[in-house]
This record gives sequence, structure tokens and C-alpha cells, in this order.
Amino acid sequence: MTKVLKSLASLKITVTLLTLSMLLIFAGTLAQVESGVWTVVDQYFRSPFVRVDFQLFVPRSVARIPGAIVLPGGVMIGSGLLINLLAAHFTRFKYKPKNAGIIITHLGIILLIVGEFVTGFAAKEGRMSILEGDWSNYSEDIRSCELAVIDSSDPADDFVVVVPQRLLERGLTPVSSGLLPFEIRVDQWFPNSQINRRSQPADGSSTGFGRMFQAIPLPPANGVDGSTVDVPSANITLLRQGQAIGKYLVSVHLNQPERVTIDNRTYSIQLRFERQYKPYRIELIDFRHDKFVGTETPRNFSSRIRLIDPERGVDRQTTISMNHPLRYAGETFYQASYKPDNSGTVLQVVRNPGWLIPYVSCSMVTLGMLVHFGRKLLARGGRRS
Amino acid sequence: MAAKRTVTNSLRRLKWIAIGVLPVMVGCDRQDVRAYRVPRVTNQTPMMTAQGPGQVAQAGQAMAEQKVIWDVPSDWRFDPAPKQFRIATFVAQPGDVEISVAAFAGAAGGLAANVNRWRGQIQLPPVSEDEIEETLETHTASNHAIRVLDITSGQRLLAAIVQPGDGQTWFVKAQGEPVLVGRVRDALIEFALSIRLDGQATSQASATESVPMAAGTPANASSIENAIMRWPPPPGWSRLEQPSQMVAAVWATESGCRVTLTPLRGPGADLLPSVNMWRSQLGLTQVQDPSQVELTRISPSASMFDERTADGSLRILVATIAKPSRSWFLKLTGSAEAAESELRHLTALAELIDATEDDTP
Repeated sequence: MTKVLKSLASLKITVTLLTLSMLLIFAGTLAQVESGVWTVVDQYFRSPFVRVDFQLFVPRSVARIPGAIVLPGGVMIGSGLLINLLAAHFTRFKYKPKNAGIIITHLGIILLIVGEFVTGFAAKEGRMSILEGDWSNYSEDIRSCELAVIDSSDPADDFVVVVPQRLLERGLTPVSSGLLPFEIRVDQWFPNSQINRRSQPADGSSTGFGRMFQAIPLPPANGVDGSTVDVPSANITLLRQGQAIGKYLVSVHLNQPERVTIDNRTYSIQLRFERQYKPYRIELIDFRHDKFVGTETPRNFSSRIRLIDPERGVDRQTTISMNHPLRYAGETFYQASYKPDNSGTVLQVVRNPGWLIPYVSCSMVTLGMLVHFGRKLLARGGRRS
Repeated sequence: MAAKRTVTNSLRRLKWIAIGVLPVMVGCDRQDVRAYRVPRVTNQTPMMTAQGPGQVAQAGQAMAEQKVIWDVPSDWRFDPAPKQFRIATFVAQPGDVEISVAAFAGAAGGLAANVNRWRGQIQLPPVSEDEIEETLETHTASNHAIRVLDITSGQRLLAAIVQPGDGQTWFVKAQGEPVLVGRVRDALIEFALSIRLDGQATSQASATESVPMAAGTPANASSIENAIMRWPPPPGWSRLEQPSQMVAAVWATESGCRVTLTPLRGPGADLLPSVNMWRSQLGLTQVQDPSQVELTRISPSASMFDERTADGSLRILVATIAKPSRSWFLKLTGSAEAAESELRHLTALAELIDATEDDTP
């Protein structure tokens, strides 16, 4: 065991992993030219491995370079560094007062890596759009979508079954679940798309919107050309006991759901941005877009809201403005954007159980370095005198 | 050689790290099909929907779906021009005094905030809530009371605050020359007292005509800009800068036409005022009877208005897409020949809007 730990604690591993991380950051930065920032974060930094095309390093206008290399992704490198550092502490470091600075610094770094794992796997972000006089009880994650199958036969509630994007984009085998009244096979998946009207109606195999409209693939939204959000679409086939019961076009562009009737029960099917429902609701009383007097320069954006949480018996008004978010029930509401005609607000809703970790870890690293170098400085001064 | 040995050793040691990390990664990717129940409440902005020409109007709201009706004095004229945040605008004679009607959820930000905002509109300083209470008059009908603010500073501002019980606060306001506003004071208070839930009795024995509120109410449904982003313009159309907030998008076509897209809140039941406006732009006579308006159905919720000047130099095509929550007016103006060349594109875009715009009220 000690032999294995010593192996893992090797400084050579540290150097190798740090070199790989620099390469990964370089490749990830270049990849953002063609892919959106969140796509790159997922593919490069929050995955175990990443395939990096050689073409990434040379503009297409200069040369066409085939081939690719597989690099360890952020998960692998981060985990490796964590194991390496922990192993080093078990085997190599001696816990003496003179090493206190280094140990505190290393603990800070360990906490920072752990914090990123917590954020990567547990943090949820979404947008809550509310118009003045309106309210909302859910946020939407505009970075991922879901296929919702809604059974509205109950007069009081909608029974909603959602298939996450991750299952839809795989596409090869039909998605089946005891919760679903049918199997869903994704024939074509468009990560980003637009909807065009067909010049001729599609053949009889398509049902609903798919007869008159079609999805056209678009390159990923990279934030450079003005597009910032990928809007997925898909051509799907619904199956029952292996038999196709209809082909449909579903798209986040389409606000109207497709209706499918099975066994005298009608289901609505809709591809939409992933929703997170809350046990409370937020009403927008007033949105303010203050400007400096006599100019069109924005001075402040703020949302006067009413928070109603029947479970906790909360009904209060508060204002969310720039740099003054609302923290409630483990979530933070930031003033993120507003409707074009100032008719409503867009709040960024962030749930990050590890939000405090970076502050603590950076403080620890700072403290550790102060202790370490301060001690050295004092020792040096003492020797001189 | 030494370097090669170092790399080999590093890789050999890395395998232990990989063995430790992989189970973590496998455990992290477990998104699956899930289900939940959500209460069936429409998450929509309060919408105004007309039920029929010249009849009772309805105010729907997500939290309190209650009909709110009112009685309009006979000498008030309904102004169909859409204005931001307003449910309806009336013009009273004499003097063309404008009376606005608006409603917001709950207490609409509170009494003091609203009164001080109005005071600011006529250059009066803000005052405390106690002082506001002193200046407010209370008027009562048979079963409810309203608060009235009447302040003057150069201009006179008369505002009535009504809470008819639909979960909203309604504001009826007139502002202008003191003498002219004074002339509408009684009628405005009478009108504000008549705002009530449908089925509730009113004290207004002389109840006059009720008018629909929907036509001309500005669109306030979700994300107009996002909606437009979903509709790729036809080939040869270039988007121009928005001339006003009411118009959501403007395009210039290669054939020389100008196309505007205007959203309005509600289904836009009464098209007659709009049709007459387009006809007047073509120099055509006004029509009085809705049955004289010729519209061609192009898709389930879309119809096309198509008229031209007598000499054919100007043609207006308007595709109207009426949805329960929001209506769209896609208007093309150009020469008869150019408009003809764009007719196919305009129809296709209208059909796309019809298909992708929300059908829920």
C-alpha cells in the first residue's frame, strides 16, 4: 500500500498533470472559436477525456490537417492532481510547525479542486423570465433541453414525464421507461437549429408540424456571431411494442406541443428547455431600468418582486438589483437581463452548494503563503541581525 | 533514455490514478427519465380578451381568473391605438382628455410608490404615506370603495385606484389642463366605481355601453424578441432598426418593400379599426360594417388583408395571426408588382408564425 501511495505521490506525475492541464486549457481556449463556451466547458473541462482535432491549432485557411489526439479531460486531470497531492501528504510531507504554511496552502488547493467537483456536479443554473404583473415558479436551463410528455387527464395536475437531452442525443436505441406510454426513437438530432417551412408537404409518414415544417441544422451558438443559445430540434418516431405510431418534428422553437392520443388518452409532447420547478413563486411587481439623467446610459436595473412560499409561510416583497442578489432557499437570484421593451425581467437562478468553497480555499492559500514566506522572511531577518 | 524512462514511470503511476477516478466518473453520469406533477395553472401574463363586438370584456389573470367588467360613459371614445402597460385608453369630450386604464398584480408596488410616481409626473415632490392618506378621497358604490387622487401643479392629475377583487389593482388616470380634467372628474370617478367582477352588482343605474378591451392592447406576452429569433426571414429580407417599441421588427426586401411585424396582446378580435387605418393609408374609403372587410384565410389562425390604391402604385398586404394570448400583424407595403413578388414569402412567414406561436390563452 505504501508503495502504491509513494508511486502516486510522485512529483513527476504532478509535472505531467500540470503540463497536460496547460495543454487542455490552451486547446479549450482555441475550441471556443467554433464552439460555445458552455459546450467547451462540458467537453473539455467536465469530461474524463476529450478528442482534440489537430485542425484546432491551425486555421483552415492555412492548411487542412486531419487527425486528432485524445487528451485527459478536466475531470481526469483534476482527480489526478487531487490524488497526487493527497498521496504526497500521506507519504512525503512531515507535519511540523515549520511546514504549516505549505500544509495550509495545499489544503486550500485540495479544497479548491473539491469545490470545482461540487460545482460541476451539484450546481444548477437557470433563467427565470417574468413579465410585470406576472409570476413564475420555475427556471429554465437554456444550456440543455428535455422532451416533456404531459398527461393532462387529471383536472388538477399535469403528470409530466421528462426525457433529458443526454438520452435524446444518443439517438441509437429508443428511449423506453415504465413512465412513458410509448417508446421514443430519435431519428435525427439537431443540437442547434432553425425551423423552415417546407416548400412541399412532407410525405405521409410525418405527422403534425413535421408535415409542413422542417428543422435545419445550424452551427453551435458560439456567442461571436450574435447567437448565444443553442436551440435544439429533433425528428422522432414514437413506437409501441416496436411498431411506429407516428413521426414527429419536435423543437424548442415550437411553442405548441404535438398531441398524441393513445388508448383514449391524449398526451402533449414538447421539446423545451430543461425546467426546474420551485416550491415557491416569484411575482414581478415592477422592473426598473434607470438611466443617468439626460442620457441613455443605464444606471441601474432592478426588479421589485414578491416572494410567496406557502410551505414556509413566506410572503414578502424585496428588490433584486445589480450586485444585490436575493438569496433564498439555497438559491441565489441575480438581475441578469430584461425584456426588450422593459416589460419584464430575467433573473439568473443559481443553486451552488459549493459557492463558498472558492472563497475559503483562496483565503487558505493566501494565509498559507503568508505564513510560509513570512516565516522565511523573519528567519532571514533574524540571521542577519 | 533517462527522459523516456521518466515518462514511462509517470504513465505507469498514472494508471493507478485512472483506476481511482473512473468509478467516480461512471457514477456521475446517471441522468434518467423522471416524472413529476405540476398544478395546472397557466403561467401567463394577464391577458385581455374580448368576447364579442361591443360587449363585456374579460380580464384573465393567472392567479385569479375573474372577469372584470366596467361601464363606459357614453361620451367617451375608445382609442384603439396600443399604449404600453395600458389595458385601455379612452378619449373624453370636450377637449380630448385622455383616460388610461391599467391593472397590475397585487398592490402594484404599493400606494406610496404609485402616488409619488404620479406626483413626479407633474413636478411635485414625493410625500410620506401619511400625507398621501390625507390627500386621498374615498368614494363608495353600493358594495365597494375606491381611492381618488386629485392633484394640480401646472397640470392636473386625477387618478382612481380600484381593487375589484380579482387580485389586481386597477388604475384609471387622466392628466392635462386643470379645467379640462375637471370636466371629466365626475365621469372618471363614476367609471372607476363601475369596475367590478362580472356578476357583481353596480350602483350605476345609468350604466352605459361596455367596450372590449382587447383590441389595441400592447403585447405583453413572453419574449417577443425570442419569438422573432425563431422565425428566419425569407431570402432577400434585411432586418432594419426598430422605429418604435410597438413594432417588434422591420425588414426591407430586395424588391423594395417594407415589412413590419407588430405584436398585440390578446386575440385582436376587432379588426375594423385596423382595416380602416390601412385603407386610409391607401386613400380608400372607410368601411363601417365588419362584414365588408375581406380577408383571405391562409392558415388556421392567419388571414390576409390585401388592398391597393386605385392606380396600383401602392399595395398593402397584412397577414394577421390571431392567437389567444397574442396577435401578430405582419404588414408589407410596396408597389403592387413588388408586393406580388413577396406574397409567397409573406404567406410562408405568417404560416410559420401561426405554427410556432403559443396556442394557450
